[in-house]
Amino acid sequence: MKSKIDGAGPPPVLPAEPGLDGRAPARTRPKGRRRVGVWLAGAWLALVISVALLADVLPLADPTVNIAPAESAPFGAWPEFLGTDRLGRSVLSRLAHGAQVSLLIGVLATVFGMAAGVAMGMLSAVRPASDFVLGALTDSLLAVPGVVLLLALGATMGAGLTPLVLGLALYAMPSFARLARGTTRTVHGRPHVQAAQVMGAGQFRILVREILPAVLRPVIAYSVVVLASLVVAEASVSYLGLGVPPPTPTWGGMISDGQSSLDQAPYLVLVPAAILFITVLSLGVLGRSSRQGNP
Amino acid sequence: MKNGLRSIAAPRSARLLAFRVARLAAVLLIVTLGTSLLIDLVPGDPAVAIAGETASDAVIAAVREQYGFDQPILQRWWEWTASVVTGDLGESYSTRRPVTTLIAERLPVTIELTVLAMLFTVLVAVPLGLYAAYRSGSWADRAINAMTSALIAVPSFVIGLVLVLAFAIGTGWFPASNWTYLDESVPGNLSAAFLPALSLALVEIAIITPILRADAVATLENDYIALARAKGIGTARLLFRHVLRPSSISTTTLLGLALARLFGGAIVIEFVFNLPGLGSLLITAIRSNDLLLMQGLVAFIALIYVVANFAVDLLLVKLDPRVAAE
Repeated sequence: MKSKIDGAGPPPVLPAEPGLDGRAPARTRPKGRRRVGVWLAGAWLALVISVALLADVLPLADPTVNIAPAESAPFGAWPEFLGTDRLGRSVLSRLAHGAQVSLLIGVLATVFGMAAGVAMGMLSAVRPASDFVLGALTDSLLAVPGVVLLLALGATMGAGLTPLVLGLALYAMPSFARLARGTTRTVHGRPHVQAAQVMGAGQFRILVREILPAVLRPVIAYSVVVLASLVVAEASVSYLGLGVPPPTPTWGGMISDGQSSLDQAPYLVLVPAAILFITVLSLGVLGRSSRQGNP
Repeated sequence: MKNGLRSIAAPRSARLLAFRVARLAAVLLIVTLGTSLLIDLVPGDPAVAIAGETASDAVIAAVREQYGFDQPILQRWWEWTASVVTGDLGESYSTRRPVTTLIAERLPVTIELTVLAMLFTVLVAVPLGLYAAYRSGSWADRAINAMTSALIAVPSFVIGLVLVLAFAIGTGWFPASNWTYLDESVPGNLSAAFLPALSLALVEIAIITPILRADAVATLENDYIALARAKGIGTARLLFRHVLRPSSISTTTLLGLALARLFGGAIVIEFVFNLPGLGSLLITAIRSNDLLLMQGLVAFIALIYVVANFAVDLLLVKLDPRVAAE
């Protein structure tokens, strides 16, 4: 209580989103070590992206066809060094094709959510009337847990790519909107914006030409973090069996399939889980380093 | 002086409250409208989807009549909301039982998981975050930071499966699935709830620990901390009595948001451990095309979140009166 008298104490900064601006301050860590982590993360993502792009060209087994024997353990045979699942399908090939699904859905949803969120956030920053509407709308979207939103959309629109992308974009939109709104309000008072106003530029032109470039920089850095959470959300829904329907392989679906033989063949869960974990971790590392790059 | 300040502050917080209540009402309006709109997203005739492809025309017509699919969306929304206000969420088509009864049966499991997970989170994240801040820059701080940033990248269902593998299949300490109700056996109940609650909590711990750490680092730089130190206060007392409260604003906000994440996370975790909670009810509703049950559940989960956040907003004003001045 003493702190209140002289106004000491921390500033009452509320993070708009976990991980948005509540990050721990940059640590005084040896710079080289952090860079190694970023390089490793980048290398892993480059590998995942190229495998996803080339999955149909690479000499992989068909991910939906049994190559037998079923449930062969990893590191037993070449080229199927990751083993085969309960139905005798190649785990390696299913992982590669699953990467296609995860990345395609994640990237599309991030782009759509970013476009809609930035437009809404910028508009609400300059139009006080739309601010209340936006606030209520983002609060309503945030009021429904992401998985519930995805499940509800998937259940009503039918399982498939469209409800997943739409649901994930809606899930990502509020945090982009808040970020864009905050940046727009900061940039709005800067001299170059005022100069444009004095020169008689219209509001739309000012928003697009003067403010949008400044808004996009933190938004794009943030989008990597969003992509990570969308990949997790897609995997969760696929794990629940309500994502992209089989036989299309997905990482979440592979984990779900493997769960029934968790006691005999735990690698059927652990291998896709590890791939998912390393990918999400790499996106997180890259996202954090790019955000430190633009304060 | 104090009274003077209060008389200025009072109308401000009243206005804040009015704003928050208006926002709450708007959110509830949008959420109920959104859940009513869900049914319009069903490709084809929702009545056919509910009754099944093989149902006769008379049955389909009865379903359409019962759920009001022949009415315009606004009227359907109004009738549904009006009955929700009186505590009636309609009847589930697949089980022929009231949706409220189904929710009431499943709610205790989800609430127990959420409360236990919240408890684990606070018990672990608060000491961990404060200690990391106190020893900022040490190997312990770096280890805690490395652990939480790795943990944040693990989806909760993967944590759950790894815990099952280690502590249920591996050591046999806890059951891998199924639920024991509290009135059947208290130790059985706690042992069934432990792994699922821990899976949920680990995700939250990874989110909250670094945030509390960052705020506590800032608090520790204040002069009054040095003063308290000079008076000879012990470390634990210093951290919990003098550092925690001024550092807990972001953490409290996040714990409010955590309630929604825990509810969402519980859906997946209940599936991992095969527990009879709201999440498995929602998945059953979706698998059996029980649209009214799904609509009721989504609205109910959203309501819990909105009310919890409203309460957190009020609590924040109590924790730090400066919030009201914003």
